[in-house]
Formats: sequence, C-alpha cells, structure tokens
Amino acid sequence: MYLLFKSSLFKIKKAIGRFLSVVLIVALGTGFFAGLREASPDMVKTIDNYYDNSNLMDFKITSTMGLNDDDINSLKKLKNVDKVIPSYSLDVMSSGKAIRVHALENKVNKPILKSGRMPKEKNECLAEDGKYKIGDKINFENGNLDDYLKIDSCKVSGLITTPLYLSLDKGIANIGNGKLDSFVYVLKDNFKMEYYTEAYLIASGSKEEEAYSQKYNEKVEKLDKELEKLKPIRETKRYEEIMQEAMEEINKAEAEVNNEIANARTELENGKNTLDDNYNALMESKNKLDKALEDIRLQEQDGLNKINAGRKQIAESKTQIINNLNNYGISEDNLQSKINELYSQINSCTENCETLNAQYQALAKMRDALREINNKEDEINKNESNLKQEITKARNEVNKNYQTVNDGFAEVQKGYDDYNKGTAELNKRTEEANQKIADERAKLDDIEKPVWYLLDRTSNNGYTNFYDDASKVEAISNVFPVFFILVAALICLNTLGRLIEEERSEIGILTSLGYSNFKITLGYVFYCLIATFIGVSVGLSIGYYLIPSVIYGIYDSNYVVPDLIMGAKPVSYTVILVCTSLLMIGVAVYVCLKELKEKPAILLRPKAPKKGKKVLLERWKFVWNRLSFTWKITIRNIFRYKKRVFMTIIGVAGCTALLLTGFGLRDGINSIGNLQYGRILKYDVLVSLSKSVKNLDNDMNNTLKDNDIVSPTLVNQEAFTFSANGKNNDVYMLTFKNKDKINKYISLIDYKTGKRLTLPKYGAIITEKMASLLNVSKGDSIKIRDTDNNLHVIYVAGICENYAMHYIYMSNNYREKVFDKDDYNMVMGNLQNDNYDKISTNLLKTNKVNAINYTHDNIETYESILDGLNSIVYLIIGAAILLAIVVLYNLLIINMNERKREIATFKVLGFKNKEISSYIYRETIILTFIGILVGLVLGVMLDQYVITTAETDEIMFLHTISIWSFGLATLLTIVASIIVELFTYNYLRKVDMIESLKALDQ
Amino acid sequence: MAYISLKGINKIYKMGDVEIHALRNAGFTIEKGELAVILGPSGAGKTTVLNILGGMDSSNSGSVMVDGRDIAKLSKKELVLYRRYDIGFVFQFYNLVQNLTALENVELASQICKKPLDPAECLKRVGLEDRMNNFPAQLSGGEQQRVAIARAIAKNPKLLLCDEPTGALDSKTGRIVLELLQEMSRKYKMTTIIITHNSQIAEIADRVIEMKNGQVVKEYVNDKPKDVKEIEW
Repeated sequence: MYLLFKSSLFKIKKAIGRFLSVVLIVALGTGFFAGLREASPDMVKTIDNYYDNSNLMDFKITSTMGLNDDDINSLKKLKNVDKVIPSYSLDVMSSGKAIRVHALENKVNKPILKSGRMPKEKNECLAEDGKYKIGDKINFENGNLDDYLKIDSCKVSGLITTPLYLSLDKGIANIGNGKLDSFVYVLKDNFKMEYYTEAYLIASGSKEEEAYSQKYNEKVEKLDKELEKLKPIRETKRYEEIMQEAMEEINKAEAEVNNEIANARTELENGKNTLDDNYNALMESKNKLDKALEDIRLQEQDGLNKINAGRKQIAESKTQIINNLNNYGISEDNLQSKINELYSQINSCTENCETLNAQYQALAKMRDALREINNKEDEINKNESNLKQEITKARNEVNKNYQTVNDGFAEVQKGYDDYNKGTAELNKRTEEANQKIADERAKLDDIEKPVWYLLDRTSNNGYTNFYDDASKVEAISNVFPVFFILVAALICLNTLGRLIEEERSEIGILTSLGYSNFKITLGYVFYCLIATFIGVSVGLSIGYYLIPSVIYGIYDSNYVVPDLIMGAKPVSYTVILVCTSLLMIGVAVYVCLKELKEKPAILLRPKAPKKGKKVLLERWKFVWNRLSFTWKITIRNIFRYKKRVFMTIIGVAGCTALLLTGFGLRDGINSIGNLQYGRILKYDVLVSLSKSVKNLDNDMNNTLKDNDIVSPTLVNQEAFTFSANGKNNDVYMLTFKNKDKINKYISLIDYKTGKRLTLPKYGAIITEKMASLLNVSKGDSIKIRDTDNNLHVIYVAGICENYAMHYIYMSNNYREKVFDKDDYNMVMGNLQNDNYDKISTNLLKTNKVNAINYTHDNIETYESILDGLNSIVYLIIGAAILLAIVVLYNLLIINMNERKREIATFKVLGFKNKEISSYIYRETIILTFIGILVGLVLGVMLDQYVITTAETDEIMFLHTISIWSFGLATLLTIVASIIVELFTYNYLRKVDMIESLKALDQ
Repeated sequence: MAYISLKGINKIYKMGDVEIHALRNAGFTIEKGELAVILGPSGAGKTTVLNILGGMDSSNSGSVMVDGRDIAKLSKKELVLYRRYDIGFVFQFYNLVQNLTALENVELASQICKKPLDPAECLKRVGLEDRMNNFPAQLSGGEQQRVAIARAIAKNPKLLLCDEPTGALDSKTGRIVLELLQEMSRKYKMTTIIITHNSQIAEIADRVIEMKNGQVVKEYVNDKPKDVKEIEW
C-alpha cells in the first residue's frame, strides 16, 4: 500500500510536466467554474448585507399632493407592514447643481457613516462620500426655501454612502437640469412642510430574506397587494376632502354673490317705487291742470255766451230804435242834427210847437236810448275783453303748471331709464356671476385626483441594475464553466489514459507479481487524487477569491457599494472537491480496468502499434499521388488517432468558441450605444415642454434658437406599459407632428430586411425587442396601458430595428384615431454646441420647459453600464487563451511522447529539426484549423445564447459578430497554438536519437 | 587511407555521479565496399561505436574518418546532413513509419537525398516488389526489416549501418535479411557494418571487429567469408 503510494509520487516526479498540466487543467476548470458561479451569489449577498445594515425600505410612497397623518395612519393599519416612517425630502440647488435634501431617519434608509459623525446641530448634515469633505458648507440656493426648510445651508459633519444611491447615476431631480447630482441628510426638524413628502415602509419579515430572492418578493408582494388596495381608497378619500373644501368655498362665494345681487335689486326696486309715486303725483297734477283748463274753457264759453246774448239784446234794441228812426226817416247818423233842427224850430216855433215839441221829445228819447245801448255795447265789449284777458291769464297759469308737470315727467322717465339700465346690468352681472360659479363648479371636475405612487425597491435604478448585472454574471457563469469543466475532464481522461498506457509493463509486472487489480488501480487513484486535491485547492483558492473580486471590482466602478463579502464556502468547496475527485477516480478506474482486462503476459509486451490504414482520399489517386509524404502521413494520422484528433478539435474549438463569444459579446455590447444613439435615434436633445401645445409658437422657437437648438420639431412622447412574460415593461410612444421630420431624427429600419419603413396612416411601428417579448409580428395587435391604467389596442404595421428601450412610433392620424389627442409635449432637436449645462439652465429658467434630455447623457449611461460587461469579456478572453494553451500543450506533449520513437527515427534518417517539427506540427496545425472552424460555428451559437441571456428586457444587443471578431478569435487561437508549439519545439529538439534504438517496451 | 578509420575513441557517459566508460581508446579501419561485423557481448560498447559512426553521438576524444572526413569534428547541423546523405541505418526494431506503406517508407528516406535510388527498384532488390503497397502491420518481421533495408539503401549512402538487424527475427527470416545485406555489399559495393552479439554472423563478414569492455580486442579480415546459407545459429 505504502509502496503504491510511493510509486504514485514517483510517477509524479518522473513526468512532472504532465502532472502539472493535469493539476493546472483541474485548477483552471474548477477555479473558473467555482469562481464564476460564486461571483453572482457573493455580489447579491454583499449587497443584501448592505441593504440590511441600512434598513433599506421596501416601499416608498409618494403622492402628488403629499401625505397627511390620515394617510400615514391608514398605512400603519396594514397587516403586512412592519414599519411606516413618514419623512421629507426636497430637491434644492447647490452650486448650480440639483441635490436632494433628505430627512435623517433612524429606522429606515439609514446612511452608512464612512467618516465623521452623525449631525447633532440643526445646521449639520451628512453628505455623499467622495463628493464632499467634512466641514464643507453646502448652500441651498433656491428662492422660496423658507416655505419648506428652516435652514438655507448646512455644514458637513459626516460622510456617508446609502443603498438609495447605488448607481453613480442618481436619477432625476425636479429642478435644475433635471439630473440629481448628490444628496445630503439633515435632521428631520429642519423641514417645515404641511404634508409629508413621502412615507417609507418596511414589510413584515422582509429583512430576514435575501434581497431579490423569491421569498423576499413574496413578502413584499403581500404588502404590495394591500397597498394596491389602499391606494385608490386613500386617493379617493383625499380627493373627496379636497373636493369638499373646494365645493364649500364655491358655495360660500355663490351665497355672497347672490346676496350682493339681491341687495342691488332691492335698491333698484326701491328707486322704481319712488319713481312710480312721482309719476302718479305728476299724473294727478296733470289731471288737475286738465280740469282747470276745462273750467277755464267753460268759463270762457259762459262769458262769451253772456256777451253774445247781451250783444244780441243790444242789437235787437238798436234795430228797433233804428227801425223807429227809419220810420221818421232819420238815420242814426243824422238823428242829432234833426234833434238840433227841431230844437231850433221849437225855439222859433210858433205854430205847431206842440207837435214839434213832441217830436223833439220822442227824438230825444230815442237818442238817449241809442246812447244807452251804445254804452251797453261798450260795456259788453269791455267785458269781453276782460274775459279774454282773464282767460288767457288763467290759461297761461295752467300752461305754466303743465310745463312743471312735464318736466317732472321727463325726470321720472329718466329715472325709469336708469332703472331699466340698472336692471339690465344687474341681470348681466347675475348671469356673469352664475356663469362664474358654474365655471368654478366645472373646474372642480378638473381637480386632479391625487395619485399615490407605490415605489418599491425596483424603482431605484441602482437596486435593479445591480441585480441585472449580477444576473448577467450568473447567466454567463452558467455557460462558460461548463465548457471549462468539459474540456478539463476530456484532457484529464486523455492524460491519465496515456499515463496508464505508458505504464502497461509496470501494470503487467505488478499483476504478475500477484497484486490485485484493486491495488494497482489504487495506485493510479492516488495519482489522480493528489492531482485533483492540489488542482482543486489551487483552483478554488484562486477562483473563489480572484474571480468574484475581479468581477465585483468591475462593477465597483459603476456603483457605490461596500467591499465584497466573500464567505467561506465549505459546502461548495467540498462538493466540488468530491465531484472532481469522483470524476477523476472514475477516469482512472475506467482506464485501468480497460488495461487490466488483458492477461499479464500480454501486458508485459508492448501494445501493438495501431495499424496503418488507407484513407478514403487515397482512392482518388489523382489527388493522393500529388501529396508529399508528410501530407500523406498527416492525413493518415488524422484518421488513425481519432481520440487525439477529437481532443484537439474539442480543445481548440472550445478556445475559439469562447474567444469568439467574448469578442462577439463585446461587439454586441459596444456597438449598441453607437447604433442606438447614432444610427437610429439621431437627435441631440429632447426638450420636455411644461405644457402640451398644438403648434410651436414663435416665442418658443426663438427660445430654442437662442439656446442653439436647431431644427426643432414637435413630438409627443408618452410612457405606456406592456406586459410580457409576467413582467411590466415601459414603452415610449412617439408621434411627430410633422410626419416628414421623423426621418431626420429616427431611422425606422425594418429589423429583417433592413429596408427603410414609412409611418403608415393606420397602425404603428414597434421596436424589435418589444415585438419579440410580446411574440407578435406585423399585422398583429398589441395592448398597452397608459399611466391611468387604461388599455389601448395598437395595430402593428411594422417592426423596426432598435437596441435600447422600447418605442412605438405612430403617425398623428393614427394617434388621433386611437387616443383622440393631437397635442404635443416635447420638442426634438439638434444642438450646435455641447454646452449642456448652460443650455439646460437657460431653458429651465424660461419656465416653458420641464426637463431636458440629452442623447449624449444616454450614451454615457450606456457606456458605463457596458464597461462592466466589457471587463467580463476580457476575463473570458484571457481564460479562453489560457485554456487553449493548456489543452494544446497537453495534447502536443502527449503526441510527442507517443511518437518519441518516430521522431528519433526521423532524426537518424537525417531529417532536420525543422522538417520533423513541420511534420509533427502539420497535424496539429490542420487540427487547429479544423478546431477553429468548428469553434467559430460553436462560438456563433454560444454567442447567441450568452448574448440573449445577458440581455435585459430593455436592451437588445447586436446579434451579429463582426468580421474582426472572427479574425481576432482565429488569430488568438493561432497565437496560442504557436506559443504552445514554441514550448514543445524545445521538447522535440531534445528527443534523443538513442530512443530509436530502444526496444519497444522501454 | 582506409575508407573508414577510427582512432583513439573515448566515450564517457555520466549517469548522475557514476561515470561509465563506454569506449576506451577504441579504433579500427574498414575498407570501402566491405561487409564488416562488429561483434561483442552486451555492454562491450558496440552500439556506442555505431552511434558515433552514424553521427548520432559524438566521442569525447579521437578521430572518426569517413571517406576522408573527420566526422568527430562536425557540428550538429553538419551531422544532420551527414546522416542525411551519407548514412543508411537499419534498426533492430525496424522503426518503420506505421502509417506509410512499404513503398512510402522507402520514399520517405529517398526524398531528402541528393542522389537517391529508385524506391520501387530498392524494394525490388529486397524482394518485396509485390508488397510495395502494404502497411508495416501487414508485413512479417523479416519483411519489415527488408523494407527498412530498402529504405536505408534507397538513400544511396556511403555507409550502411545495421544495429542487430536480426535481433528481433527468427533464424529463418534473419537469414534472409543477412543474405540481403551480404548481397548489397557484394553486388552493389555498399560498405556495410553490422553490429551483433552473434559470433555466427561474423562468419559472413569481410572484416570482423571484436569488442569487449569498450575496447577493440580483435580486428581481422576474413579471407573467405561464408555465404549466409552456410552458417548456422
């Protein structure tokens, strides 16, 4: 037993190179396997520990209207919640950059102190490690901070890291250029806001589970379900509260307005009443005047009648007298003269005096009567004139009063006009007021319902990206180590097989001496175990620590994360050791038993050399006869030593395939940044407007022009989600106002044919990865959900090439048809210079712009993500070359060992070393080339697999491998093969010619 | 001057701390066209002599004149050419390339020479014209050795060196091989040296060199070399 062990050691010593190559291949296989397999769990474990130390929240709840105590209390009542911590945060500007001020919480999202101490004073704060120094003063520069914060600057008392900000990219801010630059933590008292800005939740039992694990997700899912239920309730409740408040206000305003109007109306009516009274009074006066007038007229009539009667009487009397006179033959006019004549006659009268006297008497009487009548007439005329005068006077009086009354009427009329005007105005005002109130009421409908955002950890970019990266490592680690293990196992099989074959005679001697098969086999098992133990130990010690560290180191540059925790893994260590040992023992036993089947006598004789055989090619004399010997031998050898050929091809193919996969991954990864943001999306900037518009007005045009944004075009970009494979994915829907502009900014290229696509009137063009996630093709329909959870059905009119994120492109006609909207919320443009910060600041100042997104930033983000993957690619490439070297070295050395005699013979025959090596290597070279060809084919398949696995739902890597990568993979394999040939050439040179003289079994 | 002349050859092998004096002041001469046999028990140093003569090994001291050239003074590269153009070698275990047919094995040697003989003709000389396209594994041991001889003579060498050419053969086939070698020497005037521990074979030689303990103990010309048929072993 001891001797067998000793003989194992001797075997090792005898061919230390072979032993070392077995050890190396075991180390390489297990180390790479274990290391890559362990990298991802180590990363997750480290990060989980970080989360636990900081009590990272499971949910962050924010609301568009803040959270009040009722909200918090209802959250606390949830069954699956462990802790609810209401808190504050606020984005402020500091030195021209946006930073977020957090309230320092003890129970959740506790920052990890790197140096310094926690803040004690009001104006002390914790700041980001690496960005600030202890003692720095950070000023908060926005204008109206007083409403929210009690301080306007803080002094750094400690430096921290926090799992809230794992990525270097800290996310978006709602001020400045929209990019969050850093963060600080201040004491909670410093906030003075009416509402909490956010609430952090910790789900019951979540801390005990490893982040990202199924169990963790289950625990969080329970709370999520409760939250989803609570969300609409609280939203509605809050909405109702707000509505109630607003409604009350409107009602109050309405009452006030109504009151006012009523007062005005009363006043108006009062005025009218007065007017009516006045009118009536005036009417009465007028009537009185009318009656007075009538009286006057009657009086006049009466007077005139009387006068006329008098006149008539007078006239009659006069006529009688005149008639009497006439009888005397006297007229009125000569009456007096008659009288006078008579009077004179009387005086002279002698005769008839009496008659004359009588006559005279009569005539005098008549003259007096006439005289009386004339007096009476004069009186009547006087009376008439008096009457007329009197009447006129009375009339004048009345008319004068009429004037007054009429003036009164005019005044009243004016009053009435005023009244009517006043009424009309009041009516108008009432109508207006009513309208206004109606409007206000209508506006109530516009009051947006507060929206709760339930943000779980995945809303933290760093949280998700880190896991995605870890998963990518895992995906890659699922493929590559298998290759290594496979090749390692084959190499070990080959090496051990050769070792045992070489020691046929020793086995024969041992058998003939009576050693049992078991014991002989045990000798080789020892050999294997020693090799395995050393190999596994070396491999695992290096692999377990080196590979996770290297990979983590790569990611370390993209994340702010603690040092990697590499736990001792006795279990997996043992498992790998046992499995590898069993495998190796299996190989040893298998080969031994194969040899031991033969009788000792046969074993003592050299193994009959393999027969030479004609190969198929020899039938074609035409070709065969033209070949030189070395070629003929090479070709025959290739067909003769099938195992060796197989091994070489496998080894080389494995190497080439790995290299090609490595380079292919690099191609697929590296090119997408340029493809996506250079060839497909050709715009420089996307400016998000504060208000959706239908047209780009001159004002905005000028603003853009002033900031060196050229060829601006209106677009509408909206976020939707679609569900694929049980996961929700974001998709952006993009519509151009001007359909022709789309070609300037976006290349819509058919993903299969590479032909340019045009936007159809009906239907949309969706991106490749989305189509593949949804498993749809042209002519199918897809369902997307808007942010309000409404489902929309979109007809797929085409599928276009795209590498990052998902997009739906549609014409404005189709958008109108589906969404009934024709406004646009963004401006797409190109830049004339790259003063990104300046442009952002200027644009944001105008208040017309919400956010500015530069393609440049997107490229940078992608590049930093992809850098990490690149380093893994280099690791793979390095390992592949190492693998190739070990495999080829091993095979070549075995090959030369087997052919020592042949080589020696050639030397004796006078062949030069060069001729011999070209003869020996030709085979290897041919096999290497076959291996490379096979490897390239395998590599393409492996690359496809790995690249598909490494892809996230949002990123599609390029699935084509560049010609350079094919060339480089081939070249590196050849270089590896040349390196090995240089190593082995020395060995060949040293082969002693004396070997040719030896008996076959020596 | 003899065609081949060795003088004062010493060869010391170092095996760890032990020095083995393989040749001690050994020397002999062979004339052109002779069939010489170097005879001696194992350990006598005859293989070492052969190695030195064949340009496969060098002596520590002494001169090895072959056709007027001291090969002891040749560089490694010159030795390769010497082996290539001047030496034909027949091994005890034939050392045929298993993957080449008989003809191809001969051609393998002839193709690197300046004035080779026709490979088919050589095979005809060793009586294998019917087996030309057979692989070594399809031939008997004697036949394989004849292919090896054909391969050696096809190079048209100055010297044919045979290391125990019958060592692995039964007497019947060994006889055929020896007959062939004798014929080569006699008919084609090929200077041939056979190394053997079998004294019977010495009887067919033109010249016999007997060795013991690294020294030449006896060197004589056999006036009446026997035919192979006449000897017995």
